Amino acid sequence: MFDFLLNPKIAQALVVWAGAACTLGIYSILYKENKVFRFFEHLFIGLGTGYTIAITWNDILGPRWWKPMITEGKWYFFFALPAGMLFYFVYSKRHAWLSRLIFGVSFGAAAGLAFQGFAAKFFPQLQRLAATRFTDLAESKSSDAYALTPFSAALNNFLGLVILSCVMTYFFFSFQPKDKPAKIVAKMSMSGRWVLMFAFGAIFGSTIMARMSLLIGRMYFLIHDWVVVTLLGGT
Amino acid sequence: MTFGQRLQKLDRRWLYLLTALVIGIPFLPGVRVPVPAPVIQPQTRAYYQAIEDLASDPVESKKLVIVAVNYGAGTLAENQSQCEATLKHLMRKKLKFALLTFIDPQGRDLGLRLAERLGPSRGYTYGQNWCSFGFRPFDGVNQILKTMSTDMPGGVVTDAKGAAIESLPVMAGVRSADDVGMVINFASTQSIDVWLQFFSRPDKSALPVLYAPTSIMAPEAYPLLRSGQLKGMLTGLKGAIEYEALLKEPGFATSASASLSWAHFLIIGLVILGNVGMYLEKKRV
Repeated sequence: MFDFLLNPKIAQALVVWAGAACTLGIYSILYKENKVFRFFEHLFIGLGTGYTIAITWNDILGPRWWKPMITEGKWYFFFALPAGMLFYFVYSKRHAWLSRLIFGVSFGAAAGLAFQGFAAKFFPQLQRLAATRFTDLAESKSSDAYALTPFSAALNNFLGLVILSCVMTYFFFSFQPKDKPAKIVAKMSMSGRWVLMFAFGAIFGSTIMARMSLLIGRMYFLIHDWVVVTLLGGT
Repeated sequence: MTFGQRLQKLDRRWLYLLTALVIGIPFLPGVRVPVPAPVIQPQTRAYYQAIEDLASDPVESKKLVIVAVNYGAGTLAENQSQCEATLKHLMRKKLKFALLTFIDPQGRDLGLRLAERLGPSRGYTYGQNWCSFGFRPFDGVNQILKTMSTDMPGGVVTDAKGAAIESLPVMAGVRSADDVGMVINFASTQSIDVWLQFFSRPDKSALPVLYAPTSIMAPEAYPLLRSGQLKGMLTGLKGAIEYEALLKEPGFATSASASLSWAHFLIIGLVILGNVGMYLEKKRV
């Protein structure tokens, strides 16, 4: 009955039509709130959840847990199941303490990894900033894409230190701006706020570009894949 | 109603329609909207050059390139064009690569299908020249990448098609991070940190890490470029346009450049109009 689906051209056309219906259904929210949008919203959530469960079983649980436990004699893999189930005791008032066992282990591991991750990400940046003296013109001799002129390198390092200090000061709330040193701290704090705003402005500009890019992708699909190729038979 | 009031009370749906028209018109058949050649940013050039350098090194070019496909259908327009251009570049340079996904499970199939589409015409065969490690959940990726950095077969175990990873010719001799020549991460959410954490090899020469995030995430990554932790970066769709220009192989990103440019003009114009409306209204009141 459904043999026609084996025809690649028909299958491809159906996929494109389904994609077009989903795209238009989701974009219908731009006109006003409606039931079509709600339907496709739920459809996407359901599809995403089902897809994730299937992939997790196919790529992780099946080959790395179930198969070794059942066919390769690694029976002790079974203990991963009750350990994982401990998470769900959080929903029981009486047995919630059991969930704390597994949460404690997870938090401990996560905390250790987070510390290492912080060091791996930020220490090289701090090292670069600290190790480059204002008079060190090595950067200007570098052949990398970020090579700066001597003056720019010195100015860049100086600005980096000033901005770092100001932004850190903005998050330092222990001073009341009454005496003179505290007033300096308050001014640094305000400067930190300004440079943070500049950074957020740059991120917002990039966000506009990202959102436009996503719309471009969907418009290309609707105009090219759906109308031109599927409906009009073009290329 | 004054002009200022009209601007302030304009139904936003007209703006949506205008945006759709500005973006859609350049895609209509027969329409050619002129756009100047893209200005190549340093991070894009460095991204391109890092792959060229890897390919020209007789030792490093034999190593595996790990391509992390960490995006889903939601950011196809940005990440897929970046990924497609990069895979074309890797295939042009005959570098062997492995795909891995650990953020969005959709990335597993998006990457797999992309490589399967590009591979045959470029002489790339699954298992011989490239493979896919499949999807690993982000909750456990720390442990998996840590294991992979010292024991690649033990960390990966099986590929996306269920085969033992050691049985694939492309993985011959790949035992640890030392046998990896480069990591390229395509991302729709924060995911670069784990590579810096486990594959940075602080005691040895740094493993080149390239980053291709969406435009939103790019500003946060600039400090990583300056510190040398990243060797190059593609900034969203704009980065993909520049990269395709460097490769001299136009793709979706190049065809989208007119829409992207005109959409920016429109947004800037609307921001100015909105401020004019606000100014006129304030003045009137």
